[in-house]
Amino acid sequence: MKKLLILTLVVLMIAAVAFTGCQKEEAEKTEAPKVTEAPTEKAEDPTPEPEVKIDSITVTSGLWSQPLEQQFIREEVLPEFEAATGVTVNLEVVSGNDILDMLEAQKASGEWATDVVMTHSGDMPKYIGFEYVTPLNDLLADMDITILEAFNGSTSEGGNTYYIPISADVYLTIANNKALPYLPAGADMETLTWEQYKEWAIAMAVGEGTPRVAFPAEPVTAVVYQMGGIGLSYGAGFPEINTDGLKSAWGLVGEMMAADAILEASFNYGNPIDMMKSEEAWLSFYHMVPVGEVYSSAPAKFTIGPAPAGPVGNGTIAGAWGIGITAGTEKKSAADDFVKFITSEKILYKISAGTGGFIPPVEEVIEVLGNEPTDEVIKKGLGTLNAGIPHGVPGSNYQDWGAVKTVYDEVFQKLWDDDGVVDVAFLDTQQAKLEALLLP
Amino acid sequence: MKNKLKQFTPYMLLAPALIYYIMFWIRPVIKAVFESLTDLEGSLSIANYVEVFKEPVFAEAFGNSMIFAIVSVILQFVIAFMLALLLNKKFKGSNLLLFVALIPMAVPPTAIAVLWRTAFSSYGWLNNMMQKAGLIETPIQWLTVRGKSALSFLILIDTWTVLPSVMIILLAGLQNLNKEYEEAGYVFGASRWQVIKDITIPILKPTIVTAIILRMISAMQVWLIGVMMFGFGRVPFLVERIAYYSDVVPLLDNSYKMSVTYSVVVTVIVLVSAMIYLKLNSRGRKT
Amino acid sequence: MNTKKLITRTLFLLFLVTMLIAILVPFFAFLATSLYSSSEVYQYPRTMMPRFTYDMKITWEDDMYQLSVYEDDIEDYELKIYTNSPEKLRIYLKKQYSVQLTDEEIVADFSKSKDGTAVYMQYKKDLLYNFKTFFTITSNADKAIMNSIIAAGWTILISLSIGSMAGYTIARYRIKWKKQINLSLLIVRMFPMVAVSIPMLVYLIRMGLNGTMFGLAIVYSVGNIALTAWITNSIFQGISVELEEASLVFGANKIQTFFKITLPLAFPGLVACSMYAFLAAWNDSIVALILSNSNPTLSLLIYKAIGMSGDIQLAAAGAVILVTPSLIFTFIIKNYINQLWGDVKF
Repeated sequence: MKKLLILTLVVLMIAAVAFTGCQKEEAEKTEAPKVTEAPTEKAEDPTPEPEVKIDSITVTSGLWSQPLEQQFIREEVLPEFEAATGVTVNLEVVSGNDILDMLEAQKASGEWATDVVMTHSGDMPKYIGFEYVTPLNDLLADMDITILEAFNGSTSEGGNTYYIPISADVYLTIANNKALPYLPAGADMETLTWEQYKEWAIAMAVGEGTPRVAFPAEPVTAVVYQMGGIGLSYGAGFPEINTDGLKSAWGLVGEMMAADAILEASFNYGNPIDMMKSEEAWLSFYHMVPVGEVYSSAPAKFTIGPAPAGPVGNGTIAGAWGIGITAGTEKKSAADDFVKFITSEKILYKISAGTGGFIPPVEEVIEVLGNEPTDEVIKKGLGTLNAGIPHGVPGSNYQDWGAVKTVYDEVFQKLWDDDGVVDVAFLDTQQAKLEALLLP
Repeated sequence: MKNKLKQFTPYMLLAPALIYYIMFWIRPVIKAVFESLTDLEGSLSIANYVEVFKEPVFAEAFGNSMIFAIVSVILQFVIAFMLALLLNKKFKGSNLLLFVALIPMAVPPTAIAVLWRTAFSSYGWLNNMMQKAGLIETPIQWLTVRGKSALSFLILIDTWTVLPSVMIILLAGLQNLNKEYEEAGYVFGASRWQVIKDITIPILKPTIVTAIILRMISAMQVWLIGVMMFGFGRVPFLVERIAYYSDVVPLLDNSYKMSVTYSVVVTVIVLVSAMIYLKLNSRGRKT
Repeated sequence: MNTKKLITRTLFLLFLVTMLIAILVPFFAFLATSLYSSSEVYQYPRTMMPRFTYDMKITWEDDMYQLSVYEDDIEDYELKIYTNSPEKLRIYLKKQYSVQLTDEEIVADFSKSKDGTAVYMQYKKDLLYNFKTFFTITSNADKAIMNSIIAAGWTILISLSIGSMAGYTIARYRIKWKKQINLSLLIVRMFPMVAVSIPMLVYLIRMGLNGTMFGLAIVYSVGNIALTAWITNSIFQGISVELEEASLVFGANKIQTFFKITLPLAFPGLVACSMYAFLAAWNDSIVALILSNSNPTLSLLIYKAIGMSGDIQLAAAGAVILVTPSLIFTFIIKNYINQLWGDVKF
């Protein structure tokens, strides 16, 4: 016993010494980069820079996280740029959070390894605020494209435009053509209402004897966005749990659950791709990229429609990806060329169609959309964007967006367990939880 | 003089390990423990621990982890031991069979998830085989299991994955075993089962204890397979809660504190369990 | 007496066979998945064997090619896509069916349908398509493989040297607090690494080891040294002291005894430990993601390229690539264990 005591004391002593050593180093650690007040004006360089041959640029992208998308870009898009300019593109696809860390390190050390960055609209304010990206006003003046204005709130600040949006996404409806016979009388996928969607779902469950709707509900994935979209259609804001709009939304979903119209397998998936491709599910309302992937696996078998409408309109959660140039890049001319290349109408169309159907937010591209089935996804998305009620993801208003998702997941799970009966008291508790997560 | 050196040799041999751990493990751990003992304002308090124990999911996670550990360790030990005995016999082809038995160990954790999701999805090969054999009419939705069924599910998958690693330890011990002890038993007319029970197992005790304790410690910390098959929160485990706070909701004010508090709680639970097991074991031993 | 033996024998055999099937079937299914095309994954019902060819029907209607593929479950051709662009068809056939054709081939084959008759073609599926895709997506696979080997090598070196020294000491020497040291070795495995990785990362960066394989090995060894010590402890305990004493009696000194007598006997155990160390380093992707994202190991490369995507056949292909060296290592090691004990060759 005594020996054990002595041993423990010795270990603690050593640990204490080690720990105090740690403390000193802590104090010396540099603080996180401060956010400066005004965006810095890039001074005009009077002397022309000596001609340095640039042979490669690094593009760090949060977009194209799916391997098939990456493959498409690498095989079908980048070689064209390399052939035209002789500059190789080093493309790295990294998650959004990781890019923020990388750029923080680059800015702190002064060594900018990244030249071009692709960021989601939800994160753009951070990049602009931390000065990781440089204004593109001169570049834009040089290019002759017209960008849709829907995303100016994210891409621009203080009169400067920092990002050019290259893709936008909304939620769409997708149905296996086998589901079409079950459409309620008078309903049409182009003008579907949520009431009709619900009736359709229930008709299929009754007629087929098995659920046919995919409502991906894997924890911490997309319940928040699906419910948010329905809520918007009923006049709610986003994110909300217990307002009237959401009460209607929960009620609608509850009725589908009560009629056994929703696949239980939905709880295992973060997207409807598997359920729709295996044809277990015939109907879903989801983000247009997975919808696009299902659709393009056999375009003749599926029909896409815009987001269903509620009394107030077609609600959908929307986002965009933009391309920007880092503040400290040393290869600006090549980076400029790359931005021009990506946003040129032929390439932008190729990317949008080839990677599952994003909406190219550049008017000139929209005009070249054809009648091909693969353009359908884009057109429907565009229709929803222009005529519907899109709403962005206010991730930066909340302590942790994952926690917000969990609040929605809990309501959805309880709704399922209660056989679709909405528990208003529970909605109120969850709303309180949601509001507790708001940043002051 | 030489005697003194001899006395110090063992400690010198142990020193590298000790130094290594002080540098790379004790420091972060002590930091983590301190973090768990300070609340959001920075003062010493056990508020984090109260928070953890108050969580309704804590009880569920605790129960799941413990049941998982006990059932899986017993199951895995029995099967691994039988396999080790069989493979120790060096019959024709035992070489190759040993290799087959080792295959699951070579498969990385991410691949395990792929492997089992392809097995148990409603269009996966298990349903396919059963349908082709006429056993079922429509595909079974394996992945929608909840509660105790889900736990059993995970125990089976985990057994598949870790069986070779338990078996290897037992096999190594068996191969070191002096055959003469067993042969002596046979000479005296004991049956196969008696020999195993009264000679092999007692001699193998240190190895068996090693295998069980190591497996128990790992089993109580299982979480990744649960998340890969069912997502977070469906089948809560103690360490799964840690991953939840550090990966899923990392930006809450108290996320890091919760994760380190859970870590300390887990360590204590595992430590206590291990000590209980060792105590129970040494009670049966004579000096 | 004889029947009892027969029954026990049969039971044992049955057990063995069941275990082998239980291990091999999921594994082969996994291998098969890596050879599937994108559409094959979702076929139901189906056999486990991957397909080799696809039967397709092309007709020309409304100024567009109508492509149908033969589906076994409905025993008919199902319309999949209609378009008049050969490029779109080429991309479609490649992505969904792993059928690789050039635009010219498509035009040559399909345009026969323009005169009104249906064209029936059978195309070969590229079985290795998933693997080729993997190498296209990942730009520096060979460097990653080297990194994994280096990381694994360092891990084995560190764990085995420090760990077996500790294990031998605990087994052989009479030290005070032996029991407590034993227990403290276990404690290391009791603290979930998930929470400790971040402070460790910070520490390694300050030491300048961020992004190096040596830094990774340090993290991997934390758990492994204790494991090695524990395993070698019980192995050395199992080697009877009399053998060593006999060797000393015959005039060898301690070091010679260790290398000529003790070590050979402990070899199986040491080999088992090296396998654990190897696998810990080779298979990890999460620690590598935090510590050396810019200089990835093979496992991290696969995780980043394919990990969370829904294309399970690609994930399977990546995993097969990762598993192969481990299997080879295991195969070599297993031979060695048995050779040491002079068994019957298979």
